[in-house]
Amino acid sequence: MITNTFAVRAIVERNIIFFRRDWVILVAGFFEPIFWLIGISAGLSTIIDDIEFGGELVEYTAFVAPGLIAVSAMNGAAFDATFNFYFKLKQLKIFDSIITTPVTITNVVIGEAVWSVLRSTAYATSFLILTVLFGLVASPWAILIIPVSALIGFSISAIGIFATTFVRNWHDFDYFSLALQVLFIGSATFYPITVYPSWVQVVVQFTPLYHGVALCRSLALGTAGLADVGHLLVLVGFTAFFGWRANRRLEKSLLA
Amino acid sequence: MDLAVTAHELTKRFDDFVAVNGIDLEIRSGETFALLGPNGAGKTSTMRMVSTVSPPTSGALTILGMDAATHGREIRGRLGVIPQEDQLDADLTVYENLTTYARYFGQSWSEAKQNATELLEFAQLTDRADTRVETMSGGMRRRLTIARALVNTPDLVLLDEPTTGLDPQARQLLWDRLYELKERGVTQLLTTHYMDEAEQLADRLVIMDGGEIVASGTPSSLIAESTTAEVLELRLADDQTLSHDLPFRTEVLRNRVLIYADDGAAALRHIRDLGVEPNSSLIRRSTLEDVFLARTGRQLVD
Amino acid sequence: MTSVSPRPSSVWHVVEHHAVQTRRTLQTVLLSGFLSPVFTMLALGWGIGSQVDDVSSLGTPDYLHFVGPGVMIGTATLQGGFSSLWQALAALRWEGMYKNVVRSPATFTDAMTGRLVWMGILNALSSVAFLTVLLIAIGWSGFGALLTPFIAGLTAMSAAAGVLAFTSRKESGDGFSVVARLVLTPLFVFSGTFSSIDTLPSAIATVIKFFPTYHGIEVARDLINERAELVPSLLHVAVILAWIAVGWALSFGGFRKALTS
Repeated sequence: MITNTFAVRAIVERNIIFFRRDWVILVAGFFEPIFWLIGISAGLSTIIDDIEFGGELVEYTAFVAPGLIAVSAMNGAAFDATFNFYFKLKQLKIFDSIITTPVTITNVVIGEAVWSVLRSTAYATSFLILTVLFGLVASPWAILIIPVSALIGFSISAIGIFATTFVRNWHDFDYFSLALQVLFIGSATFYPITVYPSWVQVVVQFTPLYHGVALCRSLALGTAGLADVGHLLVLVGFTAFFGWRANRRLEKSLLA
Repeated sequence: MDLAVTAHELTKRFDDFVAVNGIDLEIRSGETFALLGPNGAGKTSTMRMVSTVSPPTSGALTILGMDAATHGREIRGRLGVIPQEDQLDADLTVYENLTTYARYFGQSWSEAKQNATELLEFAQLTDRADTRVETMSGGMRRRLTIARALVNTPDLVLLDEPTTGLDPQARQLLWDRLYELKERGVTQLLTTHYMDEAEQLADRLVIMDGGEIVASGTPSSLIAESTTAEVLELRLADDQTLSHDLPFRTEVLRNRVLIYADDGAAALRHIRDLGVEPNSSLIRRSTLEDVFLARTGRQLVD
Repeated sequence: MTSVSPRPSSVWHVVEHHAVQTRRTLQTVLLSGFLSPVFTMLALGWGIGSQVDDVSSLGTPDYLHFVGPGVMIGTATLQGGFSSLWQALAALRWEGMYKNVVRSPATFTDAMTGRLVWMGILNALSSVAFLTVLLIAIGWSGFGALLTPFIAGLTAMSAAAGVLAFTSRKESGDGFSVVARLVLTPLFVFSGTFSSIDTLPSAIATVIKFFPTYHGIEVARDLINERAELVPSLLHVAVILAWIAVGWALSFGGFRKALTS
């Protein structure tokens, strides 16, 4: 009898088979955060002196780069967990046929999440290598950005799939694009969170990318501390809660 | 006797709507069994319960000797499901649809590839192996859906409205494939609202209406029990009427009158003797459509 | 032999047709064309602005004055460019809209021109909303600012025309996401949007001056900061108009083939 591991793997494989033909899309998706790194920080580093972070002064580009690694992890997961997930669920309806095999809905959800996390991690790792090459990384702890990017991927994937179970039609994805842009710009990616009034700082704590940005930044700059354990736990919490809810909602709708 | 499916008092309720109302079923291994009925009769709900993707509200359901409530995964490993909408992976090629699906049953890649190649042959799609599903005709998609359902050499194949939306030629081709499956001894459960399909394919069938079984048996026994050997179909002019005390059972439909008689020609003579000359007349043998009409007072397909 | 030069009345019918359709997709315009850029402008304007030590090199009173017009024109580029990808493909190949247009007295050039004019109007309108927020944030800066939606509309048209030259020859969406991510996003990010173009790597700066977005941003920024001069501004606008003309001409063949054969 098929094991859960095998079932999850089979779901991941289906995505690999599909993207083998459309690999250009995967590669193209990787560049966006790099453009932002060059576009924003290259120019602004001439007019922004060092930024204070974790009690130390950091060059602006080195401050922004790890945040954009977290963004690339988010982007890597977001598309597959939302738009593509909806396409499979409602347009292709392949999940309806997959659940008539020994593969369960939970296998499907985990498999799709694992696939989007593979994409996240690949983007973030490539980006990390680039930042190392450009001398923007100050600490060997930065290697931990790889598992952290996987965790960012899982949390975005869980939230994305959960949100997608509410989508009624393609127009609803306009809200998703807006949400991604707000997370991208607003998660203290380009400036310290202390810029915000205190109530905004509180709100930002309830969003996933901020914690990913904070983790990547302190790992890259070698300032990791107890606060980062908190960031880690928040991401784990997001993943667990929304993953559970997404699974339940799909079970309710597909196993009617 | 070896039973592939037994259902007892099987019920499916959605909020306050009863889709399936306490039905009993016994499907023997190796036979082709049909659920015949109009849209909304509860066929698809029954089918989804048998494929273990829809938990029954109440009642007992045993499939291939296992309890559907507790052994869903094991049961699904031995089922082949052909859903009403094909639900093929339109992003992939024909061949990839089969191999990826085989993986969902835990097959190794070499097994999956070998099965895919054989099934393409069976479905007469070998020369289409690398075609994207998106670009295929309805008939080809259906054949691929059937091939996909066979990828795990299932013991029980479930077909939900297998030929709805197909042209007559594609339909005949599909029936041939299903007949071949039957020859191989594969148990088949199918739903249909076409009486000719049920007559062509089914060894036994139940007629469903409003979530309940209204008749069951072999196609010929149902016809023998519920109706006459022949039917005379008449179209009358607007001002013509038939007397009410004919010695035959009659059904007046929207634009024709059906007269049930074992000898249709004799019935037509009788009517002409009464001085009624119909615009047109047709004598045919009774079908399951007539059984449905006799049992429910309504037509199967409006 | 039908005339190939667009007739204003027919073009206007196509514009109206689009306007009626957009009433249904107003949400997209509101979210992607207004809320998203407004958020980006304010967050970066205030957030990065608080970190800028040397405002004088920007040539504007503060960073919001600098980045506001950048985001406005950058967004017009994205919106105009996107509209010529899947939406245009659907309108041209899958939906009957333009096929119905050419069955009326209007021609395929009217359809094409109408589409571009409509994109210009739509983006000019959403830029009015964007400008309102910007002016509330930075204060009234003179009547010149009121011309910026016009520049945004033209820039959107130029991006739409440029991408349409590509899409009008395509029968499927292959390569669209590459255009979106490797052409439109870089135009948004590198056109001197966030800092003076001279601070970018010189290779990028050289290439980017060839595209309309940079020129749109320069004019809009000068207008918002009350430093626009007539001749340089007209030259920038001329580049944008040239893009519209070239994009229009290069879309011509694809539209003719799709709609008249």
